[in-house]
Amino acid sequence: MQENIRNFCIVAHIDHGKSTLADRLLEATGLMNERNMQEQVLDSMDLEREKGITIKSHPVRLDYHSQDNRDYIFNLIDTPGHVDFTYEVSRALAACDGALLVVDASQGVEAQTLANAFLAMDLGLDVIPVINKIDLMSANPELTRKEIEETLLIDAAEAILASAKDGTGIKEVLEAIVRRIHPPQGDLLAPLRALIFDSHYDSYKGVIVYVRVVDGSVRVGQMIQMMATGQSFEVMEVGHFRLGLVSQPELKAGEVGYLAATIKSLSETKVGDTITLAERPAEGPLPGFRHVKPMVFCGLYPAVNEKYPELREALQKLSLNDASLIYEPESSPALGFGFRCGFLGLLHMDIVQQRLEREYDQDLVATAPSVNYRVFLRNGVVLEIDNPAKFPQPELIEHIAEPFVKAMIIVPQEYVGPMMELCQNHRGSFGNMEYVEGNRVILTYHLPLAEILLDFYDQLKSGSRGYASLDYDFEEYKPYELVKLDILVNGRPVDALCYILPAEKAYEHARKAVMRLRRSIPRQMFEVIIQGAIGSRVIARETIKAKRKDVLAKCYGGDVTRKMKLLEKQKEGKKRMKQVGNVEIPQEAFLSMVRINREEE
Amino acid sequence: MSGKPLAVYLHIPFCVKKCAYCDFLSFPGSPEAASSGVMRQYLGALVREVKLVQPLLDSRKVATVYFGGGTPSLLPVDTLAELLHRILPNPDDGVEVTLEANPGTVSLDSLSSLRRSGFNRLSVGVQSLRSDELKMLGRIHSAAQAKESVRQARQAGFSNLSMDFLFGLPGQSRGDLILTLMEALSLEPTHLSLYALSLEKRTPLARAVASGRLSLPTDDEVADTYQAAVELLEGDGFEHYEISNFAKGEPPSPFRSRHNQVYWHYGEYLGLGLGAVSFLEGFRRRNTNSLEEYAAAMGTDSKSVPIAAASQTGKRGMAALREEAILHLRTSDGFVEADLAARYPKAFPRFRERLEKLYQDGLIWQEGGRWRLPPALYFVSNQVFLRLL
Repeated sequence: MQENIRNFCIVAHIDHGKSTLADRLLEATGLMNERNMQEQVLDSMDLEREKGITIKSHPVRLDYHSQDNRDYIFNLIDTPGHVDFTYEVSRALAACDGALLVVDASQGVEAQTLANAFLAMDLGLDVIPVINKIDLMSANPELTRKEIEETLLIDAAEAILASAKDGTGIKEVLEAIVRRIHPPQGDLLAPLRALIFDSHYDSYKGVIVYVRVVDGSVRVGQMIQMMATGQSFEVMEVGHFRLGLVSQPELKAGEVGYLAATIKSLSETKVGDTITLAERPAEGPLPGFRHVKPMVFCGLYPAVNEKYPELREALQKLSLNDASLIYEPESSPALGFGFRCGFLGLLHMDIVQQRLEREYDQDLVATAPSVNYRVFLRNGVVLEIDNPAKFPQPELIEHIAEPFVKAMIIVPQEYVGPMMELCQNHRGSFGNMEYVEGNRVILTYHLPLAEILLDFYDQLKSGSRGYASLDYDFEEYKPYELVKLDILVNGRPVDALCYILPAEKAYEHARKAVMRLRRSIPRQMFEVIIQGAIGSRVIARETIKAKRKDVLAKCYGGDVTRKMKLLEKQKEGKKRMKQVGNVEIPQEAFLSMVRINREEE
Repeated sequence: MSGKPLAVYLHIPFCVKKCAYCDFLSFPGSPEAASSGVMRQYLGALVREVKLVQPLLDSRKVATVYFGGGTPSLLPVDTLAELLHRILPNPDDGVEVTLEANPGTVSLDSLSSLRRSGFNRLSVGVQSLRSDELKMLGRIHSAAQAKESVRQARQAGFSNLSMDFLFGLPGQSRGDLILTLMEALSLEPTHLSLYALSLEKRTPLARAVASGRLSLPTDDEVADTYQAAVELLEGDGFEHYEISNFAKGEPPSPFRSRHNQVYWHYGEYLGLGLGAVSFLEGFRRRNTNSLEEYAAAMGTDSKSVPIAAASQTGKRGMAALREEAILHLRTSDGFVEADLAARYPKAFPRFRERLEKLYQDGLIWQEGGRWRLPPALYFVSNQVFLRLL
């Protein structure tokens, strides 16, 4: 019966103890015992465990026998805690009726706490605040309670004080789930409506779709229909999640589970879509959720040109289980064929790169991430360009606009100065400053997305001794004085090295780039001139003098064979060079220019 | 003796002391040791090898003989003379016979005997005339000794006299080399070999540079030094006939090393001794580097020399053509197109395309069917050569 079902998730800022709490719930409901306990079980991938984060959410069903002697079914849907994964969080929330909002009693309300709480409340979920880590010396539950009330405007009088680490408050949490999260309220007799909130590809069963059945029911053997595409599939298996998949004959209104229907590829299912029955379709779909556009791009190239097909295959496989990864082929004269990839954020990008390298054994070159620019031409046409090399001639351009974000930084008062300076140094404009209990400030700034792509978060943390937290959202495209910096070698522009940047940073960047390139190009049989130019205006220049010494001083009878071999080796070395005009440039030179070099930035 | 000309080389791999820059195969030796132990064994084996190749020597005209090493001048004169006469029973000045000599291992007496025995060209390993450089290089002689040896050689009757020098040394300026060369010129040699130092791994000098005790001049500095030396020598009437070699007199100088020219003209040569290389019928072979193996194989019953490695570039193919062309291009004579085209009819057309490209890039000269490297590019000749591969 729906009455006894509770569908909920746990949301929190990173490291506030969401996963530990989830473990305790699993333990308390008997799903895990001492023997098969593995630290933070729900995080299945090595990478996740290594980074200490959750990437892929998957639900789990728990059985709970309450204090009032009734049996309940809990469907816990795990969510990622990082700013990149807002999209993943909202998908999970859409399947829930309530949320446990975990707040670290020693840290208080932080950026993601707010973000996730607002998301949940927007969707009409019942939010239960859980003040965690009360075992810590630095815990301040009362202050935290006050913060919750002030920043979230929810009644925290009944917030549960807990320590997931030592088990305090777990019983209260379980009871609160029963009493304070509403049961599902769908109509069992109405036509089937099930919300797809996730999916993954299984090599044996095809696409496994994760669903929250809102109305009606679905059984093995029935023909379901995707409401967005109209496509039908025969249901092969339905069930729920424990630590793995557990099949059952039927999934009913209010339940959370999975469905396998010989769906061959993930492109045939749309997360956010509604599943109904072919023979008795529902009138209208369930409200889906906003598809988040990738905000960060980088180029991914195989280190060895010939391995391009393998990289393509690896990306295909990876994207089967990661619908938010987008990629399209691109090429550069410097690096050959590769892909321009879009990610939800830097962490997503890092993870994808690492997965490609580890799970798919790829040797990669990552080029600096860039953003989508909007180029407004004089003739009225607007172009969206993600690759600097594709920029039209400067004469044709009226103005360029770049994406801006609204960034929310929560930081103790004493670091407000450095934070403001940080934002100003990244072309930020002040938005708002709000004081919060606990001597903290919520600072809002409008920043170009391009400015926060690489090191902003790091600088934020180091400038605030780790206390600052960041959340950001895309705001709008705004025009800025941007220019395209070309790098020329003996007069020829090198596509792969061109760069879009604010006019005021052009000179410094050009100098550095030209110096770096000068150091990595070997001397040739003629002078090489390296220039940085904007349009036809040269703003930086370095010269590489011609080679003066490359000789075999002695060559007599015994030497010939050995020395010919040396020459041949030299020749082989030349083959690995890229030719730009008549200048030979080693691959390493390009890599040093385009590779993400975080220490230097 | 008649037939096709043949250059003959004998290797004497013994030295009093190994120089700091040397990575050649060499063993400790001394004039006294020649009568006992390793050296004696080696010499015995060498004699037997000469006997083995007698049929070849008989069928050809020996055009040049070269005793190299190590330090050939360590051997007693009679030993050297005996070896020479087995190869060239009747030496005359029409056949160039060169001995490499290290100052400190020769005297007026020994040099006179050698001259009388038929040796008509002396190549003295001087390397430098500055004490600090000689010390750094680990040479066993002083500048004074070197100069004295050269004077003695002339007195002993050697009118064909060469000196070897090194440049690009750690701490050596362009001026340092010029001073050395000017001193050398005052001794009126007829030939000079000037070698840019190439630092070989696992030599004391390389270690000193790697550890930072010594530092090499930059490529630009060494290139400037080379240029200055070339100007000096050419100004003094030397023909710069090969990248590292200069001979006195109007081109073509009579004092060019005829033996070495055989190498650069892709001619045939016979190498005798440890690690020696022969090039016959398009087939290149190298003797073993192992003293034990060489001595043992030259046992009384031996029918053949133990070979370490052999390769065949083929007499007509592209590989041989490339090798030959590159060797010729080391010299100021270069090569004559018609000649190579005739001897490599199949491969030459394709090769010519490469030559054309080089010509268009200004990397090679062509005058009346003769191709040669512009002298200004000698010091970057590898860059041209590898474009021919």
